[in-house]
Amino acid sequence: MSDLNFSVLIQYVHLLPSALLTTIKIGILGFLLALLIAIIVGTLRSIKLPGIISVILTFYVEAFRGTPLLVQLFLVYYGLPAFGIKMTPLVAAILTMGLNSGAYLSENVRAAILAVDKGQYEVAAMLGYTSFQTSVHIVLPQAVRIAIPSFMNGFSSLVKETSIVSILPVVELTKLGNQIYARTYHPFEIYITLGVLYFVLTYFATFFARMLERRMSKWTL
Amino acid sequence: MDALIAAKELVKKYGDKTVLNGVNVKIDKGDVVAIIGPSGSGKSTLVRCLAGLEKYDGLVTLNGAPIMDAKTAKGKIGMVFQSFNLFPHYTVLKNVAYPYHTIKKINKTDSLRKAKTLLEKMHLEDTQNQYPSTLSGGQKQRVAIARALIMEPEIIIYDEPTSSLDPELAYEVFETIKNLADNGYTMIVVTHQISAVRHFANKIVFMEHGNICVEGSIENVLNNMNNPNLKKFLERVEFSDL
Repeated sequence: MSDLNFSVLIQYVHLLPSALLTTIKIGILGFLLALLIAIIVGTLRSIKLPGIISVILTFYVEAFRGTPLLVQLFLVYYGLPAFGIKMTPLVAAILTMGLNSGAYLSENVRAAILAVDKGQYEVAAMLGYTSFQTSVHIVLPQAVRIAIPSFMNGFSSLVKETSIVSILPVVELTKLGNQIYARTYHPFEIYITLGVLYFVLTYFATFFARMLERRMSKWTL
Repeated sequence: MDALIAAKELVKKYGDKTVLNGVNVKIDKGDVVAIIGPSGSGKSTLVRCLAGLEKYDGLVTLNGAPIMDAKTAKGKIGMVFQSFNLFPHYTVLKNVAYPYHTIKKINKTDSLRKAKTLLEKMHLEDTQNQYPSTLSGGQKQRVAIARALIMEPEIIIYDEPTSSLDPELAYEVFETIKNLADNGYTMIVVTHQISAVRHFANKIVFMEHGNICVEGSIENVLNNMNNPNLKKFLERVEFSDL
């Protein structure tokens, strides 16, 4: 077993901020896109819709949950240009992560909406709220409150899954690690460092989630 | 002249079970009607049909116009539920003000001002910045009443408003209902608490097995008990009221 030598990494430290920023960008923008998709798709799937829309939404959710993220990334980045849709690797990564995570989170939103008490809908109807007003003003705020823990789980998973983006020509943390490994042949030092960095990122996500939950817990269901 | 709210040949079935069996009822403006009857007699189902919260066969009209569902009533019927159904994410003040602001398109400042005035009348001004989860059952129900009132409904329906409350808290709610009755509000109250009914209702409806068995002014119904089932029911609930 070779001796551990973390000092070989020092000469590459200046590359870290850019790669870290790319990972954070993919994580946060991908998550925001996922959140938007999840709220729209989850809300629509919780109500009665015309058959064709329901089929399309179900297809989207099942397709993204039933296929590997890697295949989805290849399809978006290498497959879509066949239809004239070209994008930078970063945009492809954000879009794929958003679509993938959105499919999972939409089910959490749907479950959270179904968990809102039926009496809330009844009183809203009696007061004269329209269906749209009921969703926006009454149901969604309560559903989001219910779904926050699962959102934050989704965010942590998404940050970790950004490592798969390293197969595209975009230098995020894992890609940087691979490149440094190819030059130094010190895999343990590199990947343990990467592991620590991902852990710190997801730990911050968890910390932020707890803070958000505390802020929202001034009211309870 | 049309009754304020009326049901004609109202039938409601859950599967094979008939809960309302061709009910006819008329409520005029200014009436305060107590609906009483044993559990499962169809009281709650009747008021839920009147409010448009249940699908039914027959006809329900408000000022002569058919009510197909709660949305067609457009807030003209206020409803107060046993389980309060306050919006947990709004403070007390917002629970009362925001529906008025959102639905009636009244600006926020005026909505909040009107809500505050109503809360003061209900002696709830100290709770206006609290969330519903921090209130007592009686306070929750009075907030629910204030929220119904701000929409200026033509009639308010109470579905067992005190069933989940201790007697002391139930008293608070009945006192509020009595004040509204004294101010001429048209109301329907489903309740078991006969002792309270005597203080605010002017009409009484006794239901059994999905039918209205007895109805009339409170004096006539409670003082001339020719119906043995009503007599038996009152003996039971008055005993439990003690």
